[in-house]
Amino acid sequence: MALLKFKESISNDPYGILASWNSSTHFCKWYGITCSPMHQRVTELNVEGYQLHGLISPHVGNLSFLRNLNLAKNSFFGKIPQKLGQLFRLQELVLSDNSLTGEIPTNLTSCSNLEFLYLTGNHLIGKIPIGISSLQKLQVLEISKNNLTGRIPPFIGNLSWLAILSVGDNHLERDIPQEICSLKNLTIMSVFLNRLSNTLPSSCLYNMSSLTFISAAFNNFNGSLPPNMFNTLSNLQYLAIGGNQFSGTIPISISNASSLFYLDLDQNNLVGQVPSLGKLHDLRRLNLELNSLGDNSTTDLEFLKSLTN
Amino acid sequence: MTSISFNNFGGNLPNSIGNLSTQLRQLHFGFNMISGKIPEELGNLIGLTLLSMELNNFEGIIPTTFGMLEKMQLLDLKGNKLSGEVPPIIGNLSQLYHLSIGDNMLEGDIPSSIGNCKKLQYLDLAQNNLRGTIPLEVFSLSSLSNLLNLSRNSLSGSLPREVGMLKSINKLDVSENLLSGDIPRAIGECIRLEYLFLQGNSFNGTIPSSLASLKSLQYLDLSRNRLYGPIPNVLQNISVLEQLNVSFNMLEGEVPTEGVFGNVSEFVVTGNNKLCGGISKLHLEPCPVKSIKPAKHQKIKMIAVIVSGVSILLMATIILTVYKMRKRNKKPNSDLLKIDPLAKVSYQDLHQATDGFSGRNLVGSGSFGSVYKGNLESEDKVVAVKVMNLQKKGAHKSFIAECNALKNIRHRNLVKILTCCSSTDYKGQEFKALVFEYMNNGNLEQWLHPGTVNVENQRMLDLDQRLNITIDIAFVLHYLHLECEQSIIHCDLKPSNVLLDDVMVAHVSDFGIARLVSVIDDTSHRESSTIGIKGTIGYAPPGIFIDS
Repeated sequence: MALLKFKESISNDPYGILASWNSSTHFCKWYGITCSPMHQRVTELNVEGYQLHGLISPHVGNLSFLRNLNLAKNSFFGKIPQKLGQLFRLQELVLSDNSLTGEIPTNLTSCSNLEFLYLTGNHLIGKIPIGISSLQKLQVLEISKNNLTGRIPPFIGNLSWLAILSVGDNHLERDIPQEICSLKNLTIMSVFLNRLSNTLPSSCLYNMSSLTFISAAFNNFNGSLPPNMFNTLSNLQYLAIGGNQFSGTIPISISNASSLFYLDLDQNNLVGQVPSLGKLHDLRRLNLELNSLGDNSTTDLEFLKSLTN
Repeated sequence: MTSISFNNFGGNLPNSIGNLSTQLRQLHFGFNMISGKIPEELGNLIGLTLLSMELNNFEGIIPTTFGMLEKMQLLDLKGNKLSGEVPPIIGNLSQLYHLSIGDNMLEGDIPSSIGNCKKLQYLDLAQNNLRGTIPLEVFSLSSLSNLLNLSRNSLSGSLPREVGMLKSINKLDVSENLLSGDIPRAIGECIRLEYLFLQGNSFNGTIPSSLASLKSLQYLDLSRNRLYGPIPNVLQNISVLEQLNVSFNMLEGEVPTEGVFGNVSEFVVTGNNKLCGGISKLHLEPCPVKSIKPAKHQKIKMIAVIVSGVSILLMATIILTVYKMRKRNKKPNSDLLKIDPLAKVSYQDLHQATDGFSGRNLVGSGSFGSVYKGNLESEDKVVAVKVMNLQKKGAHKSFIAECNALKNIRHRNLVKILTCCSSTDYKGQEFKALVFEYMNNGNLEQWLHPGTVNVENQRMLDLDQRLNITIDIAFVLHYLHLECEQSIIHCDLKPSNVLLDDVMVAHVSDFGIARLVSVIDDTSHRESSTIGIKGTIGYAPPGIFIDS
């Protein structure tokens, strides 16, 4: 019985939520379990946030009707079992905020129905597995706050439903692949605090009118921001690209990003006059610190007037 | 939040800045080249908690509209060309924890309203043209934990003892001003100090050894003042002291050799021409030898012991003889020579000793003041503190009268005065108090006419005790009237002014209306008279009314 094996591998259960997990009650009535009404098969295992301490038993891979596995905010350690790859019906895998180690199992890529993958806040290492490109239904890929290395794989462009790409706070390198621009549904792109370099894929980024959130702060990005960059980003609300080596001037097209409420361009090498920000009516945060903006001329602070009128 | 700090922005700040949202919490302009006046309209941004404009070229005054920014927690205007006075409305900013307006061209006094900024942890007014004395209110800011920097101004007056109220201050810099007077002993109470800069003033007096209580002190600069006397040896004991500069004073005596004085790179003593000793690398003159060098041979040692023993005996005999001779034609002052120097107590000591003059410690109240029981740590004994009620007319005079009466008298049947305190309290009000030995058995009034309150532990005086008390009082009156250099008439002798100690010996107290009567010529004339009513009706002799 896979569930009892799962219970066995948990050494500490401070809230006693697994106390109901015994043979005297039907497993469909156990805490955190949801079954399919017809066949009484386990479709959901959700024990989020109970400080459970232990390993994830590979036997979970035997719960073949599982659609939702949520073990977030516990103290699970050890590796993510390869056997999870057997869960071909799995739509949602939530293992965030544990102490999991090892690599993202390559087998996960056989969970072809996976829509939501949350592995944020663990100690995972290695590369983002190539096989992820086969998860055609993936909408959310959140793997931030780990120790992942390597490149953001170009095939990520195949995940046409992807809406959230969150890979911040890892050790990822090289550039953001141009292929990312084919993600027509992408709303959130968060790649902050990595070792990413080269220019942003700015030649195509301005086409991505779906984007509302770009966080690329604290990387090694360089180059200038193309003048037309903000032409079609009318939905962009959050732009944080501070702590890079961007140079040149702030594009005048920024006034088209009229939904912006958060704009961090600090700690770069930006120069020249700040363009009018008059159309950014929702702007609540403007951080231009630590650049070389302004020319010590009387017109330098004209943009402040645009903010206030 | 809006920040454009650390860029090359020039030009003026537009007045329309005041049209930004009142929700705006932070506004940062620091480290640019912005010039012109600070727009008054900034005062409209009432949501601001942090405003930094440091290191620009702002000129003109600090707008008084800043008084409207009541949520302000940090205000940094350091390093501009601001002029005019520090606006007193700064006191409106009660949430302020960081105020930095140093390195400008501000002038006038430091506004005392700054004492209203009760959360202030960091105060930098350095490098301006501020004048006048440092208002005491600055030292009432016990919240000051990071920095108090008043250096490089033209501040005058003294560094008041209230500086000791800055219990959590880490760095205190009043250097390069016109401050004079003593370095207050109370500086030793700023126990968190790591940096203390007093250089470049006109401080005189000696270096207070209380500095040694600053166990965290790392940097101490007292150079370029007028300090004299020795370098206190106890400075060796500050183990973390890394840099000490006492150069260019008038210090004399031996330079210590331990602690910070052990490494020539850590301290500077040049410019004091009377210093001697210290570690050899200082190349100072050796100090004159004080004591006999240890003898080489036991025999010599023995002889030395014997000789000194005999001479001590001889000297003792001489002293005794002289003492006996002097006692015959008694001069009361000779006894005073043996009294320990009066302990100096501060208002704070007394405040502490009596739990803030709490009602629990109130043991009585007289015509001009209240008497509190207290535990004085420095003396390690229980004392009675008589606090003068200076609001009451005549209390000043009474204090003086009592001091005058008590300064030259000493008798076993008088309450022994330990010390007195003339200072200001925490509110800056004048404060005067006398500190007496505490008498455990209260006053005679309570024994003769016990109230109904303490019926259960009532005790009665037996005849023997009553007689002894009477004799005690007679003794002291005889002493006061006839044996003092100047006769003293108590004027208010009554049972409540007769206190009883552990063994029921009577001690006369309360010389608040006493008179000194000179008997040099036969016509006894009043030298120090007192106030209208003399004594207590019912106890005062009839003659006194005739006299007045």
